[in-house]
Amino acid sequence: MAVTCNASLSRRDFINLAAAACLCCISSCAPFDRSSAISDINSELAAALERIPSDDGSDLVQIAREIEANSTQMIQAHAAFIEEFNRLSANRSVSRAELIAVSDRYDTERRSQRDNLLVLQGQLQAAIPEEYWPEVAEILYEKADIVASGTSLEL
Amino acid sequence: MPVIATITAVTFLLDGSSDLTPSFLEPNTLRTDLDKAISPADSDVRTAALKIVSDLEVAVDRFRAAVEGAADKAILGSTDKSASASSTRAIFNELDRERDRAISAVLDSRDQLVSLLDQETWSRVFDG
Repeated sequence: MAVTCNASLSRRDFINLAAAACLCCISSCAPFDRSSAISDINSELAAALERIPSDDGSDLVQIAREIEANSTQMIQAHAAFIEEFNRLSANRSVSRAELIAVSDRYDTERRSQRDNLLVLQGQLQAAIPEEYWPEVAEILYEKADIVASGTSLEL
Repeated sequence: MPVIATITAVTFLLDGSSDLTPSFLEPNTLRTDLDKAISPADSDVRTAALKIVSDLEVAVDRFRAAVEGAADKAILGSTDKSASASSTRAIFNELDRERDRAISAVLDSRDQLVSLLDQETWSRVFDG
């Protein structure tokens, strides 16, 4: 199925806002406060997964919970990296080598967390029967579009 | 739960906050503080500093455009049930090289400003 974007919102804006909303889900920062709407998506998805039989006996809700926990962990690690990098780079006496070390350490963690998330998403995709996939994909992507455009799901 | 949005959010070199503290990861936040911190009498230094920031903005913008392109491809791919984790992983692995280049640009810009600004000016920019 195609991902649709609100006519007033370019795909570029959609991606930026979805990413910002995702960050705000954890940090509750003011400019893009869509955390409640993201939470709505999670609730809606959990409700849908509860009534969908899995193809391979996997516990769909459990996979979704793991994805949510991993996402939270990943965003928290990102926030910690940004805070540390900003603090160190603002200190004139900190060397380039120190900054590279901080960046490399986080990069290793980030790639590992990303791989874990993608594996979990793959498990979810594989376990959901074909006939239910459009419904799940709609919640995952089209509802995220609504959140990004700040229309009907905005609280 | 939105996997691609999470990955995109943490790949961008920004924190999504409204904090305007000067940051090399958000070059636009540097411009105003540099402008205030450097005396008008030091016009050469001011011009050089703002040029460094402008160049960094170009590099960061280019990287963010690459992130958006990758996220776009990943979202489109993920709506296809048959899409594999490895195909999405490949999209983001490719992006990692761009991210490395963006980090290098950030560090190069910082090195240039360290050389250009004395400690007093640096403190006015970053310590307020």
